[in-house]
Amino acid sequence: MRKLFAILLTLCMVFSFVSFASAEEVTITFAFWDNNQEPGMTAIAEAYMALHPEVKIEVQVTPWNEYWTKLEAGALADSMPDVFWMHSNQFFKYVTASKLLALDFDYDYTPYPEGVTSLYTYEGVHYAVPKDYDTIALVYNKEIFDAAGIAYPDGTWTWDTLLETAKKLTDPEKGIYGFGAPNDRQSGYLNLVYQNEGFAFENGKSGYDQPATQEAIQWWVDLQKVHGVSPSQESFVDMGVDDQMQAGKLAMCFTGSWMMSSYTNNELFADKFDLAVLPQGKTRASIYNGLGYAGAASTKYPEVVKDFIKFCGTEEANKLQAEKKAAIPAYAGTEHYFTDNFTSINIACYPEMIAYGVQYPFSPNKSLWESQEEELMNEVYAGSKTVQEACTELHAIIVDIEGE
Amino acid sequence: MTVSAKTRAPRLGRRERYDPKVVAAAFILIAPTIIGLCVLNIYPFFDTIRRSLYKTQGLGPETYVGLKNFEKLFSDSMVGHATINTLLYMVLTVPVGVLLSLIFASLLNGKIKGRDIYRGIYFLPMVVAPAAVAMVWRWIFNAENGVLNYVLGLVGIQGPSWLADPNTALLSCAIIGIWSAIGYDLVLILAGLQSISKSYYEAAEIDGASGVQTFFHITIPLVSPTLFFVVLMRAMTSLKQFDTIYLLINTRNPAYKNATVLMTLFYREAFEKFNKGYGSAIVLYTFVIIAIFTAIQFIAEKKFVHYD
Amino acid sequence: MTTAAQTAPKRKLNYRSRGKVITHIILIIGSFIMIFPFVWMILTSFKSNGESLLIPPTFLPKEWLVENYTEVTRTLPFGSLYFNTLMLMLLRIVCALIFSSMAGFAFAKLRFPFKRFLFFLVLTQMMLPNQIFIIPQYQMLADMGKLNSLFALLFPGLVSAFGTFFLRQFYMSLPNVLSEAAVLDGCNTFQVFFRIMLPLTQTAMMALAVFTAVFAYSDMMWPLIVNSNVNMMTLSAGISSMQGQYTTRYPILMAGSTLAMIPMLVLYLLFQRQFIEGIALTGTKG
Repeated sequence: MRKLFAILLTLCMVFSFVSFASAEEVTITFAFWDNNQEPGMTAIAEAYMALHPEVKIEVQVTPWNEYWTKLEAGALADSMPDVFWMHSNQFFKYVTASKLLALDFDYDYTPYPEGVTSLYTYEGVHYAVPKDYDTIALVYNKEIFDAAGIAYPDGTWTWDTLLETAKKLTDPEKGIYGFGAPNDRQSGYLNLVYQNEGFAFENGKSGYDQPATQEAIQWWVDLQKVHGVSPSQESFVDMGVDDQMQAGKLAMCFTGSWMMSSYTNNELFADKFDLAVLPQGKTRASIYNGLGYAGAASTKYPEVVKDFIKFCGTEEANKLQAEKKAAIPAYAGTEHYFTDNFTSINIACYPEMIAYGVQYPFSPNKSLWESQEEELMNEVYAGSKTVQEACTELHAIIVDIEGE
Repeated sequence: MTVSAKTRAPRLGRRERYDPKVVAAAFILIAPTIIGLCVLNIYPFFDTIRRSLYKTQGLGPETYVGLKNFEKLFSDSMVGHATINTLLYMVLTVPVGVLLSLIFASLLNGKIKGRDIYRGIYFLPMVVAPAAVAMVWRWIFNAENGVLNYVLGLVGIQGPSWLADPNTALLSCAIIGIWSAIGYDLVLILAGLQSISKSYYEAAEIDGASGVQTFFHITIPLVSPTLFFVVLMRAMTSLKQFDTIYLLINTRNPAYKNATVLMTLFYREAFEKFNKGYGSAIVLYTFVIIAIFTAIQFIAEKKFVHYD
Repeated sequence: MTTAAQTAPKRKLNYRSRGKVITHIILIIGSFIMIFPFVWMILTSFKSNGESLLIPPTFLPKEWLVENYTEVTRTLPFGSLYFNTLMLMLLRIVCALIFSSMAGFAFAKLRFPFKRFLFFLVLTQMMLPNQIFIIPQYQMLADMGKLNSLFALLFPGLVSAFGTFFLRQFYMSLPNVLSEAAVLDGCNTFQVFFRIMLPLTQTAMMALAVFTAVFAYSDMMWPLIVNSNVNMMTLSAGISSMQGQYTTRYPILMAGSTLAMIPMLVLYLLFQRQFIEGIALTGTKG
């Protein structure tokens, strides 16, 4: 019994040792999920701390999956991080539960893409300052093109040009495919849907019953199933489309600007690829999305939080972010800091496309039908449903959930 | 009372009263554990039951829906698929895993050269981060260039797309599950084997029993308490399996229907679709399944397990 | 010994050595399967980013890059991670051993009302998935103001249903004659527990200690959720935070995982002899 008591006592001492509080200075936590962007975010935090020595900012990185579980747990217990990244998929969940700090200060939102700003506005109030945006472009392997003697993609390309070229470049013997077309929305068929003047979801209405939408999705699926210019969906399970691209198995694919840091870090591939704007269908389109800096409604230091968020939105902060290759900064005019990092490739096509960019469809209830869309498309690829059947079913589901 | 030959806690008649001193001591001994369990685990369990009767929207408002979640559960085809996959997973991993562990443990129980090194090696899977494990196995199972298909190719067999083929996806996950668990079970069974007194073996040797006979008539009965424990644990764990399958099989996998299990389904419903109420119903459903299997095993315990 | 041993030697010798060879073959094949993923992991940790993605994959790295290791030690505060992990393992082991042996003994050897029901509570914890405990436990810690601390890491492991069940099994296999003899000698229940039963469970306690340590070590989700400061993370949590949202620099992840693995391995190798060797049981057994 004595031994037990001694052990318990030691335990208590240990606990108390590690839980003493910190000093009087203001400490705020800044949370986000992408480890690749940590240098950029730390740079911003340090710049702010240099200007405001009485504030200490703790940067916290949590991987994507755990980030949301943690944020939710924090929201329920009113212990969220003070400042954090917000994603369009999750925004409504938090704002409707009043967990986000209203950014009720006068602020000029004109430098940011309008779509991103409105993504984080609710009932006329702003809840996040835009951080970045990303678009989708066409990436191609120069070596493969050179070996086949075909000209690189450019702004004149259409769907037909893409298909033709892909066919010419597909060489099953060498294990090379012309174009990687996996079951993917943002980096995949949604771009085509809008290029074909269809739509997926807008203003509470589902566009999956539109012939134009279904046609576009069909065309994308056919790349794999009919023309054989894309590897099978099974192979994408083993190795994602970007990994296959970097391994030299694909001549072309669509990819988002957020992948550029990874592509250029691959020293074996960095000088073998280049970028072009997406080919056009009936019109041009590229899906874009953007993240924002938000604050917790329950924070102990609302004024400091608002001030820091404002700082994150300044040109200076965007420049820091861009210099560290994080993502395309939202502040107009600072894109070149991002693109300057990538002199060897035509990175400018990403910001270029924002001119005709289409916002990644979202809705408060999107999470309820998004995964069903994936599952239905799965069946299309497995051959058990046609594109039309899947889209019609999806349309019914969305109507049921969204009420329209 | 005489010192009897019965060694299980004597089952006294209902009319025999409890010894108050013993009862008091017992309650003191179990108090920390029981209190801890109630606070940490039983309370959340009741909360889960409560939630299963509601429909939650995101973070906030809950609407009472009674048993609707359960109605949905029984009509959801995904739940049907997941149930079959979960049971299949258990059938694949438990017998094979425990058998392999038993064999290896027996081999390692004897005096052989390099025994410590072997033990260290078999323990390795237990000490590595799950993320790394999933990644490495993904490469091994890679259809075109993974090690497994490469080796099969050497013998002239065209290996399938392990993780994407509906027929093999669950099997691949089961293989990883067995691989990871052998370390655990091995250590447990070894501890059990070590506590078997050598005198039994010596007696058997004198009697001229062969290795195999000794194994079946001495080793297995004497290690059956440990085996029971290992099988029970393995069964529970396999029915609750989540990590590996979640990491390797996503919703864009053609084999999704054939490899999703109850726990990955629950996670997707509760945390990705924000449907906590329905997710809670799935948890309770899984709990009942596990409870049934556990009960079966306890009944089997009475028949097959020898406590000295 | 007697003639029995003398007449049988030749046959026994051949039989023995053949058995040994087969044993070794099986063990070696098994070892190879156990170890291959690790070899792969370690080799990858020395490769460059691009090389790790090559198809067909290379086996040995073209160049052995040590930078991956230096970078990973720069990115993660391994000192804190090791410390937190070790402290967590220690604390959980102490809690598990103390509370579980008490409860395990009681459930195995003592008679008291509601025993079945209470044991069912123990089983319940093991039959439920961990994910449902996360948010309620998080809330409790938030209410206590103990988030982001070592206590938070320890919290779910304060008591161990697994340990209780495991030790109960073990105690059940200990003969009652010992305790009955002690009772006749005038010992009370606690003395029976401490002086007689507990010492007999050394093997099992060591095994439980190892398991608790491994569970604590590999718990990845809980530390990530309950602690925010990277200095309060454990090894597994720290390693997994190196995964980017869309891509992961695999060689670095592998290097981190290798570094994280080493202390566990060392600990096990140091202590395995102690608990596997076992201690000769005294008393009425054998």
